Amino acid sequence: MGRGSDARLGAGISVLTLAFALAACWLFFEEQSVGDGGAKAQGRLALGVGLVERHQWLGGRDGDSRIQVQYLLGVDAISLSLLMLTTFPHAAGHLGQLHRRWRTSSRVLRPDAPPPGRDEGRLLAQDLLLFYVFFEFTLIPLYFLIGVWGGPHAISR
Amino acid sequence: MFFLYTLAGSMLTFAGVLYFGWKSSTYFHVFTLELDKLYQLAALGVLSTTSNGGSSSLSSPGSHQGPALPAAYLAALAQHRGPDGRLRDPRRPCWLKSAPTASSGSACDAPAGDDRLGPVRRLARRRRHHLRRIAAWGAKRRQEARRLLVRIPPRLLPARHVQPENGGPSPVRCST
Repeated sequence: MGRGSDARLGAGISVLTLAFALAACWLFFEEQSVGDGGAKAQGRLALGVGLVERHQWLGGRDGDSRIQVQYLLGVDAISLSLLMLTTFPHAAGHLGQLHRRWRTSSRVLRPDAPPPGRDEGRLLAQDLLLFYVFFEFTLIPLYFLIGVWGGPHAISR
Repeated sequence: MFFLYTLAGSMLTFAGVLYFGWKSSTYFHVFTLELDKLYQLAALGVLSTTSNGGSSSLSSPGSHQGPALPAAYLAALAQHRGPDGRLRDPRRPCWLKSAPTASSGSACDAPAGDDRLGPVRRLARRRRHHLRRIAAWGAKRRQEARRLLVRIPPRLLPARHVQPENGGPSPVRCST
């Protein structure tokens, strides 16, 4: 797959992620405004964790298990703002890759090296172990950034 | 080495995650790392490492919430405060520790005249850092100290760019 195909695939994934983030933003405020009608009637909006997705990850499904680690995602007001701050630059960077003049050999922006959604998952994780896993995924592009482009002993340029 | 540093940092972070899980298991009897429950533990002071347990390490003295502080802790806080509530240094001279009174004849009478602040000045001069004392060494030793302490980058400053020090001799001008 050439660089042009990589750029188009990366741009498509990042724009799709941005669309999901915008939809999550709209759904979050809809859910919060419906769920807390009394606060909305008083002219304020009490923002909690919304759009929760919960699945059992480690440990038994019954309540007697001593380990209850969950695949728990949710969004609150702070993580929502950070989500927008993450998805917009990603989409802008990938769209910039479509232009041949701005195209780079960056492995970070290529969709085959890092799994997409690592940064978003880190921001949306409501379980500490899940956050740790997503955080470790974010170290992969950092490894390429620092190892390839950082310092005088860079691997290649 | 970069990979090893990253691996070490990840292992330390994972150890911290396991510590939180262990703390939650001691309270909820279930190994859970859900952030909502960890927030509850933090609010209860279970995650705090202080000995009193109930108070957060980030709490200010004015916003203390939890069990009462030990009397020795409060006494240590009030030790350096005088009767007027001001913070005082216990090593200050005795006539500066207390508010000036009209009583005389005690051992803490202030000396008269300009010698009243003399011991304080000497004390401050003795505690000053040795690198700040070069002003008292004289001009010659001060110049030597500046040569030792100020590092001039090699080959960055040609001779014509070196400016004379303030008060030093005028630069030698070459006629060629």
